[in-house]
Formats: sequence, structure tokens, C-alpha cells
Amino acid sequence: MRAMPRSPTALALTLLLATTATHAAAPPALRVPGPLSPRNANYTLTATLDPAAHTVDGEERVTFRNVAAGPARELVLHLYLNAFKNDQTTFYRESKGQHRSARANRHDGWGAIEVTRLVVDGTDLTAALRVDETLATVALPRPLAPGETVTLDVRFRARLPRVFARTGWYGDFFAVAQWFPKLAVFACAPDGADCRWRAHQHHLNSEFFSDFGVYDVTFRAPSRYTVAATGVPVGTEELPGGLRAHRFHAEDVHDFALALAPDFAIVTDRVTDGVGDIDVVLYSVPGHAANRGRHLAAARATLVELGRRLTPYPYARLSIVDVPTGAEGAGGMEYPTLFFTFDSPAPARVWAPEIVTAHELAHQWFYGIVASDEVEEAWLDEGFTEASTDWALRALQGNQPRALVYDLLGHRITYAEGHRLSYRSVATLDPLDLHAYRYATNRDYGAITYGKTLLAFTTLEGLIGAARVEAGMRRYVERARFTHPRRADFVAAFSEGAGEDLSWYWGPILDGVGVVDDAVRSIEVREKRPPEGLFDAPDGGLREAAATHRAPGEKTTWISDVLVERRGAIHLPTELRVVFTDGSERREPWPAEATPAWRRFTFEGPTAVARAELDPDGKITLDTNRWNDGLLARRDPEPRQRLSRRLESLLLALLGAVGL
Amino acid sequence: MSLGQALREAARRVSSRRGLVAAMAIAQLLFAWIAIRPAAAAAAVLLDDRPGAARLLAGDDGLLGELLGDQRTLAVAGAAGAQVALALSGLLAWLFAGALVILFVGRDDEREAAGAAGVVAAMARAARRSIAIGIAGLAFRLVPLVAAVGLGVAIFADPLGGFDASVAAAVALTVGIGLLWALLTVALDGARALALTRPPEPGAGPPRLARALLGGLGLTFRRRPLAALGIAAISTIATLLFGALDLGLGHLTDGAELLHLAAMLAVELARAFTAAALVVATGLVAVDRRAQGAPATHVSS
Repeated sequence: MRAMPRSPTALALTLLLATTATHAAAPPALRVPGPLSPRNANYTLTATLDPAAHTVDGEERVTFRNVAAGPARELVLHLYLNAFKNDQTTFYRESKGQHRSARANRHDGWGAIEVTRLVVDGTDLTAALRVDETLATVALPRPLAPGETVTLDVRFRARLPRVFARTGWYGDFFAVAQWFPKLAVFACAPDGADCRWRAHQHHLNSEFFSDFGVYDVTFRAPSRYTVAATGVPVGTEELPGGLRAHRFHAEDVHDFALALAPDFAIVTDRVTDGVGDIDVVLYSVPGHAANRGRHLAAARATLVELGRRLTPYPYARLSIVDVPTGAEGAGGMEYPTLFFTFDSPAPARVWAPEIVTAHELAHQWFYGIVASDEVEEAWLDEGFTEASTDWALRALQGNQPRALVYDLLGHRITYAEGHRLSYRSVATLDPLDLHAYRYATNRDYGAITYGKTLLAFTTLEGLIGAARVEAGMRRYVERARFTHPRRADFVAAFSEGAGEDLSWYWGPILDGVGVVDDAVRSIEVREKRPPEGLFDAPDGGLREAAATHRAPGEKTTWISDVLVERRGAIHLPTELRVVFTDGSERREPWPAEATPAWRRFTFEGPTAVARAELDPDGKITLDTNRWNDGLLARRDPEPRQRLSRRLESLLLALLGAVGL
Repeated sequence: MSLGQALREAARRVSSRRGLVAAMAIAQLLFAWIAIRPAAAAAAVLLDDRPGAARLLAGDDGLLGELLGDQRTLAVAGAAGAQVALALSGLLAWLFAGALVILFVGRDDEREAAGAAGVVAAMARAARRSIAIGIAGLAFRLVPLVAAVGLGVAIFADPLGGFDASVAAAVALTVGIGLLWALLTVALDGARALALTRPPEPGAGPPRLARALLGGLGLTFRRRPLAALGIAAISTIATLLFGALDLGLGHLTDGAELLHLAAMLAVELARAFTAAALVVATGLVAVDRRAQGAPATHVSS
């Protein structure tokens, strides 16, 4: 359903775009030959920022091709900014005006987006547009058959909220994101059944989902602003009234975001991998100079490591925006080829700045390249990003077996362990494969979607080996890149790459709320003695065997029973290590049998068992209780006493500080 | 009397009562030991048969997080113990400070006899006024506490160009607040000396206390600011030094109980001696008649 624009607005827009298109040739947006994606939702946007009013007035032309197997009878547009319209929206009611640690400002903080004109293939359908908070629907004059194209010309006004959740303004800083009407994803089952627009209201826990395409964007703003944006900059043009037009071009992306500030300090880096160069541009703010190198180092390590493990970053440019203090609500958010990080004062071996940057950059793979549905299957996005962040941090930290959050003054915690502490507190509340907005709480959503997924991967590394997990993930990315994969696509591709059908593993992990909790229940040690009592004699009658004393020099034989149990519903193969009183040790496998949920290991020998530990190498990071993984045959108070003495020293220092 | 003379004289006088210094040190050790007992007893049930305890000791904070997440009563018991220790230690510090003034700063004819009985008698004599000054002083203590919280939040809410600058600012803030805290301690010790060494005036109750407090503040911030600053600086440095020794030596010796006890006792003895000497030096400066505009007559060595 393609036609020439018939409305004056659409015609003017077409002419304008045709004029600007001749202005400058776009530099390559990709490092590899394209197209990489179906490019079925292409946007040409022209917009102007009014920084005083915090508004963006824009026009867009969207060409949409139906790549699903069935016809589309309507179009659905996301109007995400309406989430900030008032305190009655779905997002606001769920968030109560708070996102992470940032709070909404109720006085001048509201945001909204209004579609003032909608022309579909030349027909003005503005009056037919039905807006329901963050979704706008318009019926098509006739169904859009598979393979057909429709053109939308849209005029809109966006009012940016004071930033507290991903988008908006703070002082003279603007995070211009989710700012234009954007088509949802239309999809069907492979046989053409169950066709629907996979679109949901914008919820507290859900993020964004849309089709791939080419974006050509002209963004006008007062000339004092430096502008960072998705894609590559094409050029600028000075305009009357102190405005400057910034033009950007992006290919094979599914969203477009910008950041503006008058005082960005630009630091550049160039990362070279097997494909070529990537221009990395950090837009930093005053006062954050000290950690710029740390953000760039994290970006470099992540680009190289995930490029090596998964697939090379395909775009020519990566923009990193460090949000100013006070605008942290915009930080920690990813968009194609651009992400918002945030800085924090952390000493060298506390990897807080690096973690944010590595995580948001890892989203370029799981969100950017592999565009799963962040609402219906957030774990495919956030969870896989966390697993990739763990890989990137390991590389950054010198190829550690486990990524660290901090390692300072003799204390440390791994990235997986930090997630385990969050996950274990809500482990039985909700399953992993759940729509993002159906989780009981925001904390539950984060701990399970991010944490449990990461722990599932690190545990699987322990079970089948890191190389096979990497191979499985690489196969999934190869299969799913520039598509919208679902759970079944992942399980099939991952199993294929790993060389084993792993549905036995992913099933209970994804669908259930059962946990892994293996425990050593008891250790019983006894001396082996000859039989005592009455026994049937060979010639009839009873014969009494009396207790005998050991002969001089005869060594005692000890029997040690170690009883282990599985207290959680998920049973994974593991290993028992026992350490004997002479310091020697033995390891015994404990397969993942379903029943019984316990096993008694018996050891007989000249020394008794002193200590027993399940999963001695810490492979099963999903285990919700590490303390009960091990048991001593005899109590040892020394560690606790030493801890007490350390606490006494700490208290003495405190008492002395008050008293002196 | 110069600050140097006062410090030397105070050190000399405090040295003559080693038992008192030892009692102060042992009291602190006892408070710390008792405060830890409830949490330690609860921890014994949880940790003594678990190999994880050794890993926790080695710095595995994941196990610590799991332990405190599941056993919140451990943290509550620890915090409650610390609060009780802090309260008792503070109360005893006020009583000791009163006794130190009576024993070492007052007129010769007012000084108590030597020995433990004399110390107890001095504590009893000074108790009401010394505790009253201590309680009144809590209001003054709020100033540095509020300043510390406010400025601390300000520094970390708006990092000063990254970690290094923020840490430098935090260290400067800590030292500054510590110095202010120590200056207030000087003011209160001065007030205590004035309240306990001047002869009672007929009908003088609370107003006398108020005069003493004003006198202590006047001494610190108007009459002898340099001397007060000197005492406060010594106190701040000593706090940092002894705190570092507590933590450092405590960590190094936690594997050997007797060695640990010896190390902690040595630190506490040094701290108690320093604290006592500073209280006495403050008192000597406070009651110095020349500083009050009159010839020195009653401060004898």
C-alpha cells in the first residue's frame, strides 16, 4: 500500500527531505556491508527543540513494510512520553513517581506527546487516531498484506519531562529519548496465525520494542548545544534565530535518541578489532573528568570481548553520554549506538563506573543487535546483557574466572554473588519467563530478570564448561541478530551451539520458582568394630561374639557417614568434597537424580571425615544458600572468635573517638 | 599558664595515678567485650560448624551478605550492644572527667586522698555536676554531627570531579568535624573544671552550670583559643592514631587471643593516659587565674 503523498504537509515534508538529502553525503553508519536487518520501519525525522519550553516539535515520515506472515488491519504507535503525562498513567501509578533512586518533580516535571496530524498513504486519519495513554491505534483503510508497504506522515509535539526515568531535561541537559511516535512490532506465528501488534502500555519495569530500519534525522537546537545522537553525524547547518540543524544517519537500528548539553567535554577513542575501527565518543560533563578514562577502558574491553565472543559490533560509531549530577535518572539506559552511563566516586578497585558502562554497552548486543521483546521477555534482554557484562568485566579485570564488583582491603564480592544476594531474597516469588510488568515488585523484577538469568549462565558454565556456553550464546546471536527472537529460538540455537539439548536445564529455570539449595545435613563418624552379639553358629544354636580389644599396633578404622540433601526443587549435578583429619581429601560426584532428594556417602579408612562440602569450587552460583553447602564434623570456634576480636577492635576505635 | 606548661604538668600529675589510667583503659576494654557478647553467642550457633566461616573471615562478603540477610538479629544484637557500650562508656567518661578535675585541678585542700577510695570519692563528689555538663554538652555535640551528615551528603551527592577529589574533601571534612568535636570537648572539659573548682555560691543551681558552660565556651573560642585549638588538635590526632592502631593491631593479632588482648590493652592504656592528660590540661588552662584576668594563686604544682 504505497502511494505518493497527497496532503500538502506530506508533500512539503517530502520536498524538504529531498532538499536536505542533497546537502551532504552520509558517512558509513556500518562497518560491514548492509543491509543487516529487514529495514521494514524507516524513519525520516525533522524536529526542533525549544529548551525553554522543554518541547520538541517534529515531523516524521515512516515507511513500514509488513514482514509478518499475516495481514495488519491497523497500525499501533508507541507514545511513550505520555507515561509522564500525569499521576494516573500506568507508569506513574506503578512507579509512584520514582525510578531507581530518582524522583519525579510534580511541579514542572510532566511530559507528554501529542500527535497533531496523521496521514497514512495520503489519507488524513488524524481524527481516526485512538490514543490510550502510551499507545495510539489507527485502523487502516484496507489490510496491509504481507510484503506491502505503508507510509505515515506524522506531525507531533513532545513535551519532555523533568528527567527521572530515562528521558527528559535537567537544567540545560536534555536526554531526548522515546520522543517521537514510533511504530510497534507486528508479528504472527510462522504459519500466519495469531497475528498481533506486540505492543503494551509503558510500565514501570518494561522498556522498548520496535522494528529495524534506517533513520535520517535533522534536529534543530540553539547553537550553544553540543548534540550526541544515535548513528553517525552527517553535518550541521546554521539557521536563522541562533539555531543549528544537526543531521544524523543510522542504519539497521530500531530507535533513535539524542543528548544535548552546552558543556559536554568530548573525549574520543578508536577501538580496532578484526573488522576495522570503531569511533568511540564520550560526552562527559564538567566535574566528571577523573573517571573518563575508566569509562573508555570499560567500553574498549566490552567492545573487544563481546565482539570476540558473540559477533563484532557492526556500527561505525559508539556514543557514550555521561549524565550530569542530578540527572542520574537518565543514566544507565541504552539506545542503538548510544547509551547513557553515569559516574560515581569509586576507588580503583571498586568497579562501579565500569559496571554501568559495560552493562549499557553490552545492550548493544542484547537489545541493539538481537532485538528481543523487552516487555514480554525481558530476561532475553536484561538477563543476557548481565551475562555479557560479566564476560566484559572479567576481561577488563585481567581475565578473572569471575567478574568482581570490588576487591578492596581484603574484602571482595563477585558480580554473580552480588546478584545472588538479590535473587535469593525473592527467588520463589516469580518465574523468569514472565512479562516484565507482571512481577510482584520492581525489586523482584530486577533480581530475577537480571540476577537469575546471569546466575543461570554462570551455573551452566560450571556444569558444561565456559567454552560450550560461549558457543551456545554465539550461535544464538548468529541466528537471532537483527530479528526479534523468542524463547524457543534461544533454547534451540543455544542447545545447538553448546552441542547438547539443554531444555532440561532451561525448562525449570525459566518456568518455575523452584530453587537450587544443596546442603550437607550431617556428618557422623564412628569407629569400625568387629561384630558383637549373638550369631547363628554353623552347627546350630547361637554363638556369642564378644567385644574385642585392638591388638597392639593395630590402627583404628573410621567410618564416616556424610548425609547430603537437596532442599530446593531444582536438582543439578554437583560434587561432594570431603577432607579427612589428616588433610587428605576425596571428591565424589552427586548426579542430578530426581529422587531421593538425599544421599548418604560413606567413607571408611584410617582417618575420619573432618569437613564435607558440596559444590566445593562454587560452580553452582544459583544456590540460594551457600552457608549450608558445608559442614564440619567438630565445631571450630576460631573463625568466629577472630571475627569477634575484629569487631571489638572496631568498637574500641569508635568508643575512643567519642571519648577523646 | 602556657599550653606546653599545662600539658607537661597534666602529664606529670596523671602519671602519678597509674591505677586510675589502668581503670579507664580496662573499663573501655570491658565495655567493648561485653557489647560483642550477645552477637558473638548468636554467631557461635550459626558459624562454628560451617566451613564458610573461614571464608567469611578471609573477606568473602557474599557470605557476610547472606548471613546478615538471613540472620538480621545478629546485626541488631551487635548494634544494640554497641549502643549500650557507647552509653555506658560516655557516662563513665563523664564520671572519670569529674574525678580527674577534683584530683588534679582543684585546690590542694580539696584534693582527695590517694588510692581507689579517693578516686571513687572524687567521682561521687563530681558526679552530679559532671553528668549535668555532659548532658548539656550533648546539645552542643549536635552541631558537628549535623554538619558532618549535611556536608557528607553534599560531597557525595555532587562528586567533586571524581573519587580523588571527593575523598580528599571527605578526609578534610572528617578532620574538620573531628576538630570541631574536639574543640567542643575542650569547652565542656573547661566548663567541668570551672564548675568543680570554684567554691559554691549560695542559691546557685542551674545558673552556676550555665555560667560554667559559658565559661568553657569562652575559654575555647575567646579567652584561650590557641590553647584550646592545640588541645583539640592533639585530641584529633590521638583519635586518628589510636583508632588506626585499634583497627590495625586488632586485625594483625586477631589470630592469637592473648596477643590481641595485650595489644588492645596497650593501645587503651595510651589512649586513657592521653585522654586524662588532656582533661587535666584543659582544666589547668581553664582555672588559670591569669587567663581569667587575675593573678594565678591556686594552681600549684
